[in-house]
Amino acid sequence: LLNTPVISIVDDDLAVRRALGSLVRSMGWEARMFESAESFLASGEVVNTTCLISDVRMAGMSGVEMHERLVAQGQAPATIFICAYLTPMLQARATGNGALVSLQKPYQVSVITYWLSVAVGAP
Amino acid sequence: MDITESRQTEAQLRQAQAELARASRVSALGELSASIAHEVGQPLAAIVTNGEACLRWLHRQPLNVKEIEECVAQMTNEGNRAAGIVHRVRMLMKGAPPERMAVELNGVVAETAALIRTEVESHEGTLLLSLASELPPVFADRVQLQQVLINFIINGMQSMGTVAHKCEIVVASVTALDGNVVVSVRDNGPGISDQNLPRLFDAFFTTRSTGMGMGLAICSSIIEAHGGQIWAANNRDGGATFSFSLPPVNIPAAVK
Repeated sequence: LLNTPVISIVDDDLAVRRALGSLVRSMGWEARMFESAESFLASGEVVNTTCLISDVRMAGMSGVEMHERLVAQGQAPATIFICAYLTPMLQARATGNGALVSLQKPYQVSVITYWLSVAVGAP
Repeated sequence: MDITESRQTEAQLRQAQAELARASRVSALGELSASIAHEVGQPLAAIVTNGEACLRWLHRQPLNVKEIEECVAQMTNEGNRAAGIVHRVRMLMKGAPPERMAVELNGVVAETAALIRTEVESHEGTLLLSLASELPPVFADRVQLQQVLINFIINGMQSMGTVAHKCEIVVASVTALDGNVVVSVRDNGPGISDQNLPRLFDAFFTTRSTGMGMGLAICSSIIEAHGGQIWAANNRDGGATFSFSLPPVNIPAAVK
């Protein structure tokens, strides 16, 4: 159990956060949930995180800013962005910085599970 | 003109006004489409995610009933949340017959802000609320008041097209000294020119090439029908503020 992948989920929408948490657990992995970029950064969970699923637009620091900060610190985990209102500019900025993918809500769940598997390295 | 004829003209006029009100609502909805997509996208994302998770839980041994139950409960909740949004949009679009009741204006402001926040943010603007901690209820139609607020906010946002700095819109509520409840929408745009100020609420008055010029005229007729007042003024430090006031429930509307 030591090697169970940890997926961190950052989304200010409680329902989306809980749903993703359940999905991650149903895939046999551990889920950590955060309602803001700030609370994730302060949690000390960054180093344990195999894959990060983050909303882009949130009150306070945006998902993209948080990711940029993690990249600058050399600590960015594999990242999947999800956003309810994705502009081309936002998409370019999000993925331009090395995130795996950015997806518009509502996304296809199979796409999320595919990228999660890629991040975790599961077959 | 005899009485029958004048009654007919009056009825036709009323119908034309209702049609125009509907057209302006629909055009406001068009401007809101980004917000609506955002609002509905959240619960849909939660529903499909819970559905997939639920299927996976069903195939795991031993069965984790608690997780399964949680997924299903969440799907129902989020379905209801999406249905609520659809209902609100439909009410705005249909122009359901006005239904007046005791209304808490802060609640109306919060609902409107939820509908329009994304629209403001997609224009790189911010929407702030500054609400009185307690307001007396007013006797009003929620949907019509939402419509007035949406018009105010969209107007404020569109006035920002010509300025370089970021758009900031503040919706505030307060009880005035005379006991009336005042809601105002303040922007930091270029303000209103002296020549336009007195004509703002006139029908067909617009400064935009694509505008119908009905938005504020309809706001004005809605507020007047509620026994309230509507006005606009420039701020000392730039931008304009659009306001309306409504009498509290227990005091009859002031006779003007």
